[in-house]
Amino acid sequence: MDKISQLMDGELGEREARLQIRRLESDPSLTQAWDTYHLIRDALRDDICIGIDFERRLRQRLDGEPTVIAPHVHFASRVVRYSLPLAAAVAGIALVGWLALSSQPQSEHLAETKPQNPVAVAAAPASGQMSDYLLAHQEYSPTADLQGMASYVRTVSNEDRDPAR
Amino acid sequence: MSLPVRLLPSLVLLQFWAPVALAETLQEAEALALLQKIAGAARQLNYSGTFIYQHGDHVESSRITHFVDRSGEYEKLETLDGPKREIFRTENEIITFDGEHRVIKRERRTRRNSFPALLPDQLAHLTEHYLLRKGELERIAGYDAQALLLEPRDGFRYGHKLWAEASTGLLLKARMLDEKGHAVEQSVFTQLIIGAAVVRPVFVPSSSSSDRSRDPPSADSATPADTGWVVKDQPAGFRKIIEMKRFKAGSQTPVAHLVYSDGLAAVSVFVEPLPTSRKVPEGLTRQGAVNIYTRPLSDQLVTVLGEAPAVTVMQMANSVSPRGQ
Repeated sequence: MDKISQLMDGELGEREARLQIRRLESDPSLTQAWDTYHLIRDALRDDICIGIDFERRLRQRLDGEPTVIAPHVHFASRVVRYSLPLAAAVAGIALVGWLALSSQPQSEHLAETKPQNPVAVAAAPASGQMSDYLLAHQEYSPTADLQGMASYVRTVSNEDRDPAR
Repeated sequence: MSLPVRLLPSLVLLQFWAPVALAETLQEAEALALLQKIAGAARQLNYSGTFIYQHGDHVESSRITHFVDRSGEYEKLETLDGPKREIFRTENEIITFDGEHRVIKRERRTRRNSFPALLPDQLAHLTEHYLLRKGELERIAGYDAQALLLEPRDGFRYGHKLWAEASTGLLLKARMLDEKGHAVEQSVFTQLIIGAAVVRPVFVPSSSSSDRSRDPPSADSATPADTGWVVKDQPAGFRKIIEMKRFKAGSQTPVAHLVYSDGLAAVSVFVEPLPTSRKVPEGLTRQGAVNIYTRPLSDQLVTVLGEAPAVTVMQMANSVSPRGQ
């Protein structure tokens, strides 16, 4: 797992990186860790979100694409090998698109299934409901009990207000 | 025969190990007592002040008042920056007002008295997952404050640094820290009065605007119940503390709400039928220290949130399943 996080941070040499990428391809649990690390890092850095299954789903779609090139013995494994960087590239394009279209980074969601529809991305429909859930949660949190009413500031924080309310 | 030099430090360490362990235990007992004092002070004292809430680049100030007498607790939070919002909390109800004193949300409280702050048996488990230490004395909002550190023993919970007013135990400042020691959220009083000078907050909407609040929304409510849902793979130490069905005012469809806690952090799990009328956001977002993760599960929508790292919230969300499966 450490190697995977080093790979993610670009700390591995070329040879070691190739080795780890091969491990990634063959071990689904490592692929899952790779996804999760990226999701967490993205969330921590930029408050954006890409669904955890993005890479897997993309790969499934790629696998489902009709094969145009003449069949080759190693073709299937090559698709898998290329799909990982390709997934990253597509995610990057989606991210750039999202950044360009969005003016309010917090509490908005990258609609992974419909990246071609910026209106749906910007709608952030559930923010009112989210503050309901936050309010309900505070009641039972020991941390909130220490802070008294101060913890409720999250539910009325002006950055997360639903303008429709 | 001489010992290799590199072994000397470990021998020295060995000699001091026992007293160090004892000192840690004593510190923990003292720190636990302080934690209970903080929780008690938040509910038993009268206080009113201005505090700053910040996370990332975001900073905003609010005013809070807590008043208690024989008839119960009365609390108010009022935003001072941006659009005005007020939240009133009594033993029976939580009401949110907008800037024109219109009620925008009401929630009935039912379980408060049977759900005291920091249950003793949870506190006993706290030291399994956090290392507790007393910190230094500092001055905050004009008061002497005792610092208290809660360092997580694994990556599934945030660290906490709390500053409690030295004589009453009232929490003056609180900071949550991620695994790298970076603050994910902080709140601190900049001005505060404690004691007799605090007056009871007014709960009725002002008369000038009463005509506009003639038709306030009816209250949401929650009833403790078996929801039929369970989290199968929560991180070590997170135990279910309550399970209920929530009813949004005017809706017959309950939302399952389960709360898991390690004694300090809490994670809430909400399960509801997948809405057909609106687009469902999916994935991870944040509100200060609270991570929120939403995912569909067949025809249901699972929302998990809590003041815990993303990995905790996501691991729990991904292991929600109907009981018995």
